[in-house]
Amino acid sequence: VPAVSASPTVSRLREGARAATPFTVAAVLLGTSFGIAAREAGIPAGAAIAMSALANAGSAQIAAVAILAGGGSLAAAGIAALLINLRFLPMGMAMGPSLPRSRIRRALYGAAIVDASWILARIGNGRFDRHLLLGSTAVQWVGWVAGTAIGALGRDVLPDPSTFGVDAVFPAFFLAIIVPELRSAEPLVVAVIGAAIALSMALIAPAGAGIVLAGVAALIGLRRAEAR
Amino acid sequence: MSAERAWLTVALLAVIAFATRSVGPLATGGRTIGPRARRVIALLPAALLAALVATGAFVRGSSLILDARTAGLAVALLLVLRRTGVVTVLIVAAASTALFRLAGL
Repeated sequence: VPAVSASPTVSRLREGARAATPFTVAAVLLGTSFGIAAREAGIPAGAAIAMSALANAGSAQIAAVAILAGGGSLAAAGIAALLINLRFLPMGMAMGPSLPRSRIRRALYGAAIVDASWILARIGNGRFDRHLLLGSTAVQWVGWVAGTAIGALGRDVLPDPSTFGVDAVFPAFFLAIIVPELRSAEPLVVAVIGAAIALSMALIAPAGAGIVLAGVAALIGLRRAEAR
Repeated sequence: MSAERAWLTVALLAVIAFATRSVGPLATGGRTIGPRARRVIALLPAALLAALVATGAFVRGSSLILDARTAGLAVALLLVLRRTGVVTVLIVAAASTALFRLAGL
């Protein structure tokens, strides 16, 4: 076998893709779960797959669809998706200085930010490698879209998905990404208050309102900043 | 859901996803958000994801209950606290929810 020497760019794209393997497997499982949930909410398979391909926003998509499925409004679904995706704002700002100067290219690299890729692309001293980011996001995107297609199209031939506990996959994923963040007091308090708001609002308010209102708990960040 | 509403949701999510991701890199170099706003934004995922976990675990319709999914997520929480890999957590959460459901919980 002749030795093929890849360019540094290609090898970093590959390195990003390889590092993202466990997240890609998770993306297939989550995508399948999302595809099924979207169909149960009355979204056609084509629209569900298009949403995953164009938005590539797991938590925001599942929150929006859960709100719509519970009878919530499009506005409530959009606000919840927006709040959940707001985390990309500081993540993108952190990445800004490591990106090319062209505004179009900055925006496009920004569009490739997903949680796991952003973490994998860090190379120390606050710098990021944009090719690690792209390689990592590309494989996760394929997994997410493929999973969505499996779930959305398979919904017609599969028996009741609750038989397989598919409905637990997304809450379990949220647990897996949020619990490690709760090791210090402030986010833990915010999480407990956010959960309490969501649970109490679920009893009295339309679907999704509680999840949007839970965002109020983050305002604790203001109080701490003022105390300094 | 009507097809129009479904595709409107697709467009809405696509715009939100692109806007929230591209604004950060575009903003850096020019003006930046202040430390207070940054702290609030940094805390938003904790609030919203905890709300989603709590809702997934306890809310069915407009009532709070304990069922097979609640139990399956409790198992998932134990694994997460033991720092088990994310793929294992997802598979065990689904499988244990299915088993609790089969057991009639």
